[in-house]
Amino acid sequence: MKVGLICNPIAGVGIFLGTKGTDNVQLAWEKISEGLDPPVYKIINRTLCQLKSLKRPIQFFTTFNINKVLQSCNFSLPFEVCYSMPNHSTSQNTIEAVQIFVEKKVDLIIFFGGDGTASDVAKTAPYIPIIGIPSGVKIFSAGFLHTPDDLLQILQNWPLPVKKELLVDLDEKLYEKGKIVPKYTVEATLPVNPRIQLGKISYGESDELVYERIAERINEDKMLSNKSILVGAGSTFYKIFEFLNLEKTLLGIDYYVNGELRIKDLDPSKFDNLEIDELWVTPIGRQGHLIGRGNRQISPEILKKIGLKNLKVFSTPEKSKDLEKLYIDTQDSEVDLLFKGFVQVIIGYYESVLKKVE
Amino acid sequence: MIHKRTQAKWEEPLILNKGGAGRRAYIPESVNLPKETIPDEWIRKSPLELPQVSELELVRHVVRLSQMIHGVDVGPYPLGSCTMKYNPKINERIARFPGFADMHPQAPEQSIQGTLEVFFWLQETLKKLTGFDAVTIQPPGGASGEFTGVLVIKAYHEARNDTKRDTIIIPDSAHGTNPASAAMAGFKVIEIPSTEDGYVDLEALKSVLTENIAGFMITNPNTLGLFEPNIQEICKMVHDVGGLNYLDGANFNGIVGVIKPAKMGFDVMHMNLHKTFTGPHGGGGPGSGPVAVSEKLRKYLPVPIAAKKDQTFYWDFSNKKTSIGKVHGYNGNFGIALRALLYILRNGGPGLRKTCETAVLNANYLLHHVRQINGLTIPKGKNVPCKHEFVASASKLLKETGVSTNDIAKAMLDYGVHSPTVYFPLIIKEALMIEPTESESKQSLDLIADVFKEITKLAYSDPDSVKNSPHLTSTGRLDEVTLAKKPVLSQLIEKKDIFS
Amino acid sequence: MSPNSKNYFQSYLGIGPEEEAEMLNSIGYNSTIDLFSDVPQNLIERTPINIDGPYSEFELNSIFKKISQKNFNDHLSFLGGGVRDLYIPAFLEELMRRGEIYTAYTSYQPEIAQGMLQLIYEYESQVAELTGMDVISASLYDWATALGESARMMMRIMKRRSILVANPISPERLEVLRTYTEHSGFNIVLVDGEGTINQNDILIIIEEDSRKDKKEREIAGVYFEIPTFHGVLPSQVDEFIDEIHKYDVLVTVGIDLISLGILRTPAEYNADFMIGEGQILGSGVSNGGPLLGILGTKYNRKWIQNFPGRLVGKTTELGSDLPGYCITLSTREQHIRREKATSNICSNQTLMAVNAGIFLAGLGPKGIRDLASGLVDRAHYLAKELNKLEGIRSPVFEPFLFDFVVDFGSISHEKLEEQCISQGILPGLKIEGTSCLRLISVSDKHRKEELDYFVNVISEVSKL
Repeated sequence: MKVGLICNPIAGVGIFLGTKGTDNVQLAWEKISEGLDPPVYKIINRTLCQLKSLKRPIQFFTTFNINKVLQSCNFSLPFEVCYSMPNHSTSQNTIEAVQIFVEKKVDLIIFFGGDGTASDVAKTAPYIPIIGIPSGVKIFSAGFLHTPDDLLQILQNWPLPVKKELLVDLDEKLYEKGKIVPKYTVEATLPVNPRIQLGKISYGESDELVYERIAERINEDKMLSNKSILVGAGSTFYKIFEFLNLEKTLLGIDYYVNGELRIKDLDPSKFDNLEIDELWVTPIGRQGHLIGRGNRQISPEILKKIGLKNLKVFSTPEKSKDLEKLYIDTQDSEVDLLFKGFVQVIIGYYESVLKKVE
Repeated sequence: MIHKRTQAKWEEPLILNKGGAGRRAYIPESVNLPKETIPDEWIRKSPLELPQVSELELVRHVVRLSQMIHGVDVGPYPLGSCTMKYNPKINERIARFPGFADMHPQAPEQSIQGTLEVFFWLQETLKKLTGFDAVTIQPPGGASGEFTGVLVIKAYHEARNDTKRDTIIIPDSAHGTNPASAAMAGFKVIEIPSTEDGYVDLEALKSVLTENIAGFMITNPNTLGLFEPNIQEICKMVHDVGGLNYLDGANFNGIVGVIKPAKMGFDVMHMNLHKTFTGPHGGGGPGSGPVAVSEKLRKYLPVPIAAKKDQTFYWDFSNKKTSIGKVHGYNGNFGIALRALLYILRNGGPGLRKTCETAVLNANYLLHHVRQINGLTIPKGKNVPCKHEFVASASKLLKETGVSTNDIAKAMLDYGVHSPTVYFPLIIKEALMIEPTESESKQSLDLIADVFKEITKLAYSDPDSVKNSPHLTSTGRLDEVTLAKKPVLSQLIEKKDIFS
Repeated sequence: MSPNSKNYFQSYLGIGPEEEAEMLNSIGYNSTIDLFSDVPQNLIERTPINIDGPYSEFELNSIFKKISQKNFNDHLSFLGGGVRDLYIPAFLEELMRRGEIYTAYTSYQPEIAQGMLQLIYEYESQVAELTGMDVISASLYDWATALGESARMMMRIMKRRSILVANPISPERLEVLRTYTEHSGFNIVLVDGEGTINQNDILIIIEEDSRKDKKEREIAGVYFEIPTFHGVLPSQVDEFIDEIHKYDVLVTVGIDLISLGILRTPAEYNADFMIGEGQILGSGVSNGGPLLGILGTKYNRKWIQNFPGRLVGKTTELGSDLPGYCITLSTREQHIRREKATSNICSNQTLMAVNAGIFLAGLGPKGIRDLASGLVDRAHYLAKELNKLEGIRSPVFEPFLFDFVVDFGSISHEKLEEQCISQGILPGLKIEGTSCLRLISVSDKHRKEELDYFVNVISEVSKL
């Protein structure tokens, strides 16, 4: 089996730029030259170390020396660097690398990145199955693993059935202005497996009553009182908070103390000093991610402090209906474990739905 | 090739647009008394454009319309969860005896001994069939029974000053009425997921069992037609945290006469007399939803309850103070209760047992044949017999041919077979919920299976013909979308031209 | 006798014993009880449950004929108070015996149920015509539960938690209203009146409530009946309702459907919601059920979203101009909206609605006027004749319509009932909490001779 492995070195840097993606390449590289360790390295390390128990021969074609990464877990894999990423690489470099993979007739391309990287890979190799390892800021497209820890299973069970699906990329500028307009980019060949996420769907719940009823419950049960709460991103909260007569940013994480908005669109560097009693999140439509998609700002350290007990989940009934399970992908397997179990998703004034978190 | 049937197709105008001035089908009894006037300010000013038709015109109109309705008396009706069994004709005759049909509910007890005897007899019989200690016949429908039962649970906790219990647990396979009834009674509802096999997930249940739990509401056999194997353990887990167990008896036909629900560990249940005990479904009702409870809940039931002292029957109001109150203006749907009693007595214990076993046999026989049909799958209950119904999925067919569950449902109508319940329970994609009942013959079951076979086969060869069905019913598919946008709900709305 | 020798139930089973064995065999089972192998065996009854039966059809027929004859249905009855024992024409009874109609269920597949759907639409349309209300629910259980639903709906729409109810109201309706509301934290406030609506006090209470901060307001709606439970036609209802509306409070009226053959409609005096008992439209009183809860309103998109019960609408066939009927706006209902459902109602009283529709079509405009005025004439004649008797005051409250309260003076309830029943009369409804007041209701089954007979009996009882 031949696998192409490519990494977008600036994936995820957007978090540190306070943007909702890393579309601005130049700014990202500046941040790295200022001394930021590319966040993707940590994910590469976590993802590839599990391949220690890989029981089948795989020939890797890569854009970097993977054994350098694997040193930390004391094993090595056979690989060939078939394209050298220059410093300050752009999406053009991604495309060129994938062209080489195509020539090498790889069976599968694995990429580290977000929605932007996914589009670049797919448009160059529309007929080769691709799998994304979630490393970017925006990860709304189909084709990403729910969590990097699943890669071993996928490779072990290869080949998987595949299907054609349009990838999604949200326009970062529009997105920041609060418009979740999915723009369908290119058609990709994606493996079908429960460990691989489906594309986000925006549930434009036309029925305002849904949000009003959830808001009524928050009021009635005094959920905001006497607590310091981080409230995650998403249109679900945006609309619920309208009915609570409280300001809420659409894409930012906001901080409320005793029912009052204290900090809007929180910067991660300030997280450490904050007192946090609860974290409120809403799953991403059809994917079911509670943490790790659209709210990467929340660091594993903070999540560790919060724990499953102090996580409150809200959803519209429609969105909830399509989700069999919920996912946590915090980039830290230890923290992921802390959040496994059952969680109640509040979907109305009266009703909650119990869901399994994986 | 199986025979199709063509339904009658009368282009019958609305009765309001028929007839002519001066025609009168029914002329009420006149009386030779002085004419009285009513206060001027009360005299009707609006026009009153009711139909003016002769008796024959009206009779023909209704008979023609009736020919454009599919009922159990017309053909197979495997509508899951609705138990569309045969409605015995003797019940219809007896329910129309003047002593039953013309009796006012509030007449003094001595003048309604017959009525009280029927209520009492049915109460006693339902107690024996369920294993519970007390029964009210008052709830006029299944959902009303649920509302009553949930209020009884509330009253029980409140009487013990156990006021923190504000939540009812419901499995995700439940009937939609369960959460609606619990919410109507002021409870919060937690819906818990089912396991891969379609049963209650004990781990999930355990994770929500706290001192806030007022009760657990479940249908058993569940809406997949499967008997919950751990039901006794489940009931015990709920009891252990102080909650009560509620059985939705919609699927009582799958166990009636074979299993007494109280023995499973339930504290309260409602029955749907129009399902299990042949109250005619009447195009949507009337139903009847008696509630049975264990001894400790007796005093919370609605009053009055029929009682007997020596040889005299009377209304027992003794629990009026502790009761949750009335849920019907009088004593519920007596007419349906009477029919249920007649059906039960016709069967006796042996007959009900046979009924249940036959319903289960018919379902398993049909399941056996449906399982073999290409395009349909049976996602749950792999290694167990189903009870009175089962759920198939057309996901595979949809993926392979583009023909959906809805299309199958429509295509079936051309064979004179009513469709199963579709898209329910919500946990099965493209669900077809099939309940043949004990009334259907082997030929009828074979026909239903053959219809599925022929339609799915056609889906692979000529999917469009399925998607465009039905072809032989009195109308093709209707424009439901425009209607939802511009809901013409009466001729008055048409006349006023509200939507233009 | 062994169970097998009395297998009368075989009539209702689709398969015979030989077929049963064959079918079991074909699916790999030996006996039907093996189909319960998945059930914990301690739950299975080893023998049939010991209840009465099996009975033959003949036995049932004779047993229940005897039971039915224990009821005094042939007595001359003046009982009403919500339901009324009116004559039912033969064609109606005959039509309602059609199995196609009564053995169908909810019209989930409209293509195969056009007849049922059209009958329901005709019911909705005729009740709309009669009441002036555009939208009629098809259907609720009875008047009392329609009141419960209507109260909840008013509170949902206004987001307030109290309803004012004009007393007199029937104790049964009031009790159901309380069950529907008070367990979930809503309040019912009774405003007493003397036989009629205490408009003054109601307006004072609403005015006081309206002075509160908008979020603190409690009163969502007012409920009263026309005529009242004591039979009275209130005056200046238009002005009263206008006043209530000025304070942004809703109005539900309870009406007698047959009275609308001669009376002004709820639409004319601008009520927001209308409820009533549909049994009087051609069904038997049947010991109190099945009845028919009627609920109507004027078209208002927001209100319709909160409206309980099924709705059938008129549309066209896809790809043609032919009319067709189907259930619509079902997103309001519990199977889709679950907890957000406007009501938990599922099975309802459709058959009674169909019956009422055919009854109204049979009556026509002239028939319902004749029926209504015939009841007025009987009631007023009877009230006057009773008033002529020594020691009896009749009616106690005026102006009245079909029903009226009689003060029987020194004749106690017990004595009156005992004497009347022995003379073949059921003497009206006892008014709770009184020693001698009864609500007398007339029927089209009452001829002049029967009214005179009642007066004579009372005259004799009063002399005892």
